[in-house]
Amino acid sequence: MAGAVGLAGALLAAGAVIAQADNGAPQARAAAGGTGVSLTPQTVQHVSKNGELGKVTIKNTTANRMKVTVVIRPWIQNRGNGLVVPNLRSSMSRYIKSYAASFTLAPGQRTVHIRQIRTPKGGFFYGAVDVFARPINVKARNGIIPQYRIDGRIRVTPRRPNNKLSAGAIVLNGKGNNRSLALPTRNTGNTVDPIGGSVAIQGPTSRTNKVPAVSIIPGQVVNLNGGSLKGLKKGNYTAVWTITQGKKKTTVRRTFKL
Amino acid sequence: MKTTRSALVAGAAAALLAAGAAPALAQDSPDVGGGLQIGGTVASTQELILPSVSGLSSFKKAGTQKLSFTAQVTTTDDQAELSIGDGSTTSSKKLGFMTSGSKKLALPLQVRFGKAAAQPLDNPIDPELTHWNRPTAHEPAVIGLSQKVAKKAAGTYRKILFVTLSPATP
Repeated sequence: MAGAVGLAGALLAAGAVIAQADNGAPQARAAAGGTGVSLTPQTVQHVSKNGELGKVTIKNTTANRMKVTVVIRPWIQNRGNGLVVPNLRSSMSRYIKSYAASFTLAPGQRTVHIRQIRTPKGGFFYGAVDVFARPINVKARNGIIPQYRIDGRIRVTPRRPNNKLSAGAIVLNGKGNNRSLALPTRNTGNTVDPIGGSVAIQGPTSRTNKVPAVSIIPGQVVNLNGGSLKGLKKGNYTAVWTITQGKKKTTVRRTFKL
Repeated sequence: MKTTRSALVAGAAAALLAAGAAPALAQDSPDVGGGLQIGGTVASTQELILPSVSGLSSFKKAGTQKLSFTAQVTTTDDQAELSIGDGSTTSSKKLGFMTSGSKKLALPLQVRFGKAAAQPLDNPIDPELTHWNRPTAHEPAVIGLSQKVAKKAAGTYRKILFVTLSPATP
């Protein structure tokens, strides 16, 4: 029994598949295999210039040949938490391109060069190196067919970095003890230097909350988290946000009512 | 770009010591390190390992069929996220549905990570399964899929899924 449990654990560790149907019908098969794709390095960063910006290595450790496609895409940023995902409906291929952009990769590795063809708008760009790998000649043609997508970062930094931001009206999220403070902040500069600091809340009750740093894509808005308002008495408050972006410090004063 | 991960190496060294790899150091033992700094540098990398998966191809009875598989994630980044999305289409009416030629099932495929609530795959934004706030090495992530059918569905169905590993910050 212990051996079976150990074997099950080993199978799971190797990437096993478990399938069942709740009506008791025998269904999907399980198959295990250490199959993977990797991308190195995770970040390519270079000051904007036409020509080569850097290179990435894509490794195929599976037993299958893969059809690999590499596309440079812009990010979409979540306004609430600042997390990013690549925008699959958009490509930067007019400005920045990978060479080769599409190729067949046998087990092994290949280096892909990333080149700037034209200067992106504003002279900077922050996006994803979107690597899509599809196994060729896999037997499973029906049912669920998982395929690989691994994203790296590309940062084409401006020749003259400029840290600048603008803040909107304060936002109160949640209700009761779950109420929290947020400050919508737009990055009007051209860097992704993290933006964070602290907020001093002054009024019937006073406190200072830490504002976790968030990297905001230039032009995007993210709500900076000013922390919980739990335990504050009713009344009029002033929140003084002290925000640091790179070496630049900004103070923003906003009022709110509880 | 290189990322220093000496803390990991130091952690591994501490784990070895904790496991009793070198438990018998006498008080007057010389410095076993000889003053040598323990550390290392690794290239920043992301790796995704997926198993071969087969299942959810035919629906001969009404009910819910389930399938789960374990992806493994390695990342040197401080923040990474794993998501899953429809790899066949990004916008059509078939988004998130198992298909057989021009036919599709009535209900979308559902995905869940661990014990989290299942999410339908017919949303235009891929559901985030999980994210990590630390570097990981071969971290398992169990992805559960389920498909509900109200009655027998003729034919064999398929769905290409993108399992995506990406950094969470720009």
